[in-house]
Amino acid sequence: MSGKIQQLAEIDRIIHEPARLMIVALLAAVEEADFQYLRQATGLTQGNLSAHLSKLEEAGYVAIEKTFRGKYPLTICRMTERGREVLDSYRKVIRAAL
Amino acid sequence: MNEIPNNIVNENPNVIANRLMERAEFRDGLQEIVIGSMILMFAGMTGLPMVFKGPFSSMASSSGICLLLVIMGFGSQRAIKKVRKRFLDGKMGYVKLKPVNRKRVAIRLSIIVGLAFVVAALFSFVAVKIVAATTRGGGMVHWGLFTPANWLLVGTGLLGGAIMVFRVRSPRYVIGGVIMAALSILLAFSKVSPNVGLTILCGFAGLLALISGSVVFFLVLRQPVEPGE
Repeated sequence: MSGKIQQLAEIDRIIHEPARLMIVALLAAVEEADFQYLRQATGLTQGNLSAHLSKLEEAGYVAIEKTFRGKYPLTICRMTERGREVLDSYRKVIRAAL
Repeated sequence: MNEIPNNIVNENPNVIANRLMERAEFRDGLQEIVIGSMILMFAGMTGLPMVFKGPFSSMASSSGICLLLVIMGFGSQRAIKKVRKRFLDGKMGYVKLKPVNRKRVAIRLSIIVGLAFVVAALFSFVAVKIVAATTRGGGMVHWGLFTPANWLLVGTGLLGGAIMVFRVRSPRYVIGGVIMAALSILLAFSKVSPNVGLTILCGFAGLLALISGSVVFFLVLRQPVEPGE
């Protein structure tokens, strides 16, 4: 049991943050979603969501593609394989510890 | 949506994914409009034989609606995709759901077909009972409070109401489900024929879905287009 508890110290801090956990949980459930959908689903502000997405992209958990829909910019986000693996192991560690 | 961080640990991710997909599918009211229209068509199908008395016209109208139902079943999803892309993605955001799990769809379809057979068998059983009662000349058979046909009406209302209350989980559908269940009991107690009762029940369920979907859709249409990031 103590070994499992100690695993919590090695938990992925990028995913552990609640707002980012919301984003990856949403993206894990779908194939891809745009910025607008994520903003509505998470309730985060534009700046906040943008900052969290950048961190997830830097970590390689989320792939971001920027295009245009007519004259409006369109940001499409999708979870990477690495992101899915990290989320899966995060779930396992938390479940084992709690 | 803030329940996700807790659920992602405790719940099966596939369950969360399915719930999110359902929410994404029903957030703009389009699916409700399609389902409502199809239920209304079914109500029309059960109601038309009362309007067109002749065997040919009644069969033709029922077949026409059947054909429309099939066309709608196959074409509606493509139409929904187009409407979303044209009018809603800028307002609600774009989300592409995971590819459909063919095995799960096959299992669900088998269950639906199995249930349809059970319902058809039940209908036939009730019809045979009614015919037997009338040929005996002893009047209508009563099982407890109602005739078998009226029990079927009550069963349809209770089942439909339960689906609305427990499956859709939206306050307006909880009220709608309770009304539908109460309406079925009321119709069974009244003197209307089971055919009329079924038409009224399906008409109510269809109208509820159609109106509520249309209201959601028009509210979404009124939202301004939000610029992306």
